[in-house]
Amino acid sequence: MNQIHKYSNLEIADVLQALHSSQDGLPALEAKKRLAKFGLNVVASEKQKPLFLQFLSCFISPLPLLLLSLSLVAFFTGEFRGAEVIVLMVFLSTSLAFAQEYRSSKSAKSLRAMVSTKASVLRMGAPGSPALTIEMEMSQLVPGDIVHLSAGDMIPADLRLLSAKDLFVNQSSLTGESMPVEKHAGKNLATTFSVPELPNICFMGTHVISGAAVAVVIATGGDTFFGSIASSIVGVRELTSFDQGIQKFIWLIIRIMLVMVPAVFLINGFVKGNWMEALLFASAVAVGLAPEMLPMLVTINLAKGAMAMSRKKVIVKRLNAIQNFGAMDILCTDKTGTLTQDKVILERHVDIYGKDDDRVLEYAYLNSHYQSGLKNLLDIAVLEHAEVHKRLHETDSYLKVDEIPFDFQRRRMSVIVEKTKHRIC
Amino acid sequence: MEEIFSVCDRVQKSSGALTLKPLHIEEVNRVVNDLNEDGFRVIAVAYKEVSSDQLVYEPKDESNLILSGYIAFLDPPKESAAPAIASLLQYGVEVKILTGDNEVVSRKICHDVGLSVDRIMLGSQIEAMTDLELANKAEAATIFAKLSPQQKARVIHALQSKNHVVGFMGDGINDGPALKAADVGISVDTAVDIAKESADIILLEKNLLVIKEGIIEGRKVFGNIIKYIRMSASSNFGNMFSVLGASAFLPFLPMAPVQILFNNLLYDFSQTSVATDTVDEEYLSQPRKWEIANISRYILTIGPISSIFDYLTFGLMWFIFDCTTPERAGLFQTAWFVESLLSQTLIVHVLRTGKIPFLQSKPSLPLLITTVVICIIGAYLPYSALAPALQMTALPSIFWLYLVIILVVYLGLTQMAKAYLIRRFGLD
Repeated sequence: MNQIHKYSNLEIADVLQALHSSQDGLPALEAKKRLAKFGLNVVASEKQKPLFLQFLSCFISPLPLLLLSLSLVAFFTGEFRGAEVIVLMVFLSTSLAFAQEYRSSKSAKSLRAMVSTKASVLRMGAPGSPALTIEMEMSQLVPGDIVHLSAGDMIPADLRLLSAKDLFVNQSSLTGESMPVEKHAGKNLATTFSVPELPNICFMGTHVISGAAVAVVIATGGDTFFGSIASSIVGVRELTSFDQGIQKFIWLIIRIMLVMVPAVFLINGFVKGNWMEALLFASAVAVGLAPEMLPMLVTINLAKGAMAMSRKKVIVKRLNAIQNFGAMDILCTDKTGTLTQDKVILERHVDIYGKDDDRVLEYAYLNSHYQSGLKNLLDIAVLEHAEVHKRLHETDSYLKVDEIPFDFQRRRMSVIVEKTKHRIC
Repeated sequence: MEEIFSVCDRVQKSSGALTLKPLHIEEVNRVVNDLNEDGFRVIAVAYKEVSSDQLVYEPKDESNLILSGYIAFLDPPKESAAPAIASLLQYGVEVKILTGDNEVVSRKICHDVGLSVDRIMLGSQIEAMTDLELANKAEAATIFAKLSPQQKARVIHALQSKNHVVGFMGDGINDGPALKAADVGISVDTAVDIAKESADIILLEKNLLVIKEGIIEGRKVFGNIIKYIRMSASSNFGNMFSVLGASAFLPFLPMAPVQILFNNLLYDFSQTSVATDTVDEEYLSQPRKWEIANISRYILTIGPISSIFDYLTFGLMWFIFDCTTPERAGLFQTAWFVESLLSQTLIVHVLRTGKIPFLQSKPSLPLLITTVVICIIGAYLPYSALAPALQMTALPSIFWLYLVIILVVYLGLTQMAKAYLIRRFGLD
């Protein structure tokens, strides 16, 4: 992360030097070398194990293991039928659980939206010929590449801006902040910014709302801020409360067995004097104590729950999560979209004393209505709000004369309209 | 804001435009600060009238404006959020907000939806705390603002370390680690891939009310699983306890192997319908966790009670029906088969609820039908064509009278024991 701060605090020329790049981009050959060194610009994602292994791994949990080992005991003590029943139960319940989870993870996958995977990159051609802008797969980007950004683009890697015009970026996927963030190319002097707040860095996984920019790639793939988050969540999940509960229950059964089985063995041995038979009988008791139907019943219950929940707009990806759902006593949630509507609306229009004033809304409406640039979220909010208040539809009587568009030096925007010659900012 | 003030020299009052004075600037700052504290994003609006002959305007014309007022923007709270949070609380689920957004906006929104805003923790404060300090403070806080993705996961781990089962709902890349850390990761189908990949549960609608429905469904499922675990573990334990005594003192097996297998088959079948059973409202009203100690008490109390009645049956057969020799083993075994199957199957109705069965809590129809059918089959088997294959003999009619007495007393005693366990140790 310090790397990102470092690039943020450098002048553009120094950034390019540090990355051994130039305004004209990288020579094709150098890009190839870097691709070999840094790897593809892709973020680690959950690797799918082969189906067969996924199925096998369903057996590697405490309950099936306990039951299967008891079936071995039954088998070696001549209880073939008991052994058969246990193995059958384990197999049935595990298959059922596997089928259920496989189906729901497939449906989750089909929900995935496809995103554009091309980036517009500047690469040097042969010596002497001018640099060319080419459209290429995002995965081919390397540190040092110069990329062009325009409205609607996904940001393909972590970038340091070289120049930017009216660039607004939606970083909500990184920060949860729904308002677009403004970015500019200037050197960053402050050191107190948290990473996503850095004003001259754009992050992989976010996207451009409006404006255009040229930027140099400072990190790709797993080295990006996004990649560092992604890689921290790929891997084995911790045991959840339900899994721990099942494990504790199995230990309870094992403890009971550890008391019962030797007791049965000793009592039978002493009373009847036939120690071999006592041993067989004791192992039969162990098998009898085993909750052989448990995995089956748990799975039936969970699958039934998953079905009931899918009717209530809840898709269960992992069956064991259902119980955790019921056991949950704290629900943590993000704010945007859960508590809020995830859109910007105009809520107040007040005069300088904080009292509601329709004239202010009228001016704001004229400005948003007549400005000819890209209408941002705020403009839309103004227009929508004003449209609810129909009485402001007197704009027909205005005629647009001129406008002074927004820019980042002034950070203002004006339109000039004709009626009684109002002019508003 | 400042950008517009800098080009204003007058302010709009109802009486007309006045020259901007230091007094006004104070007023301006106060109003704008108030709006900002309410979580608004504020933009100033100013105007001036110009002569009609000028046709082209430049930035330098933006001068000597009259400050008219402000427009304030907000991402407004959902109408459904406040009632949803209240009803989650009723069901014993506390809602906490973990956000990357700043505390001012978060405070305002949380206030609007009825969450306590007294305790706010910031990412920078959390960064300075040890895991232990965080665990001690996180329980009391409702809002966590300006969190980095890793800090969200830390907060969840901190709450888990205080024995909470923690759910997390999020849809951003920044929510990935938290989704993974939570006991239940909840995402939405419009979320980014990485969030959906890390989630256990995906909502088709980002709405807390949908979550409440899911929670109730989850408790029903868990309730029925626990019912099954308690019942089957108790009866397994009781049976083994009975077999232990019988094997030591009887000159023959208390039940033939084929009968044991058949008994299990019928009992297991009756248990599959537990999944359809209704769950008492009281049970659904609170989060339900594994209470292994309670399960263990159940097994160690209810199991031996069932054994008492097994031994009563053994005594009955031994002393009254004179089954003391291997020749009379068939009758003995048939009697225990019937008693064992009927008692196990019927006890389901006592153990499935914390209340008085049938009077206060009714089972689901499939469960009722299955248990009745299994009992009828069990009682009929000794008289059926299968009897020789199962090594069964017909039971004398007087046995049924004894059996009814045994079953009624058994069910009554178990109901009392269950009521005692619940009074003493609580419902699980």
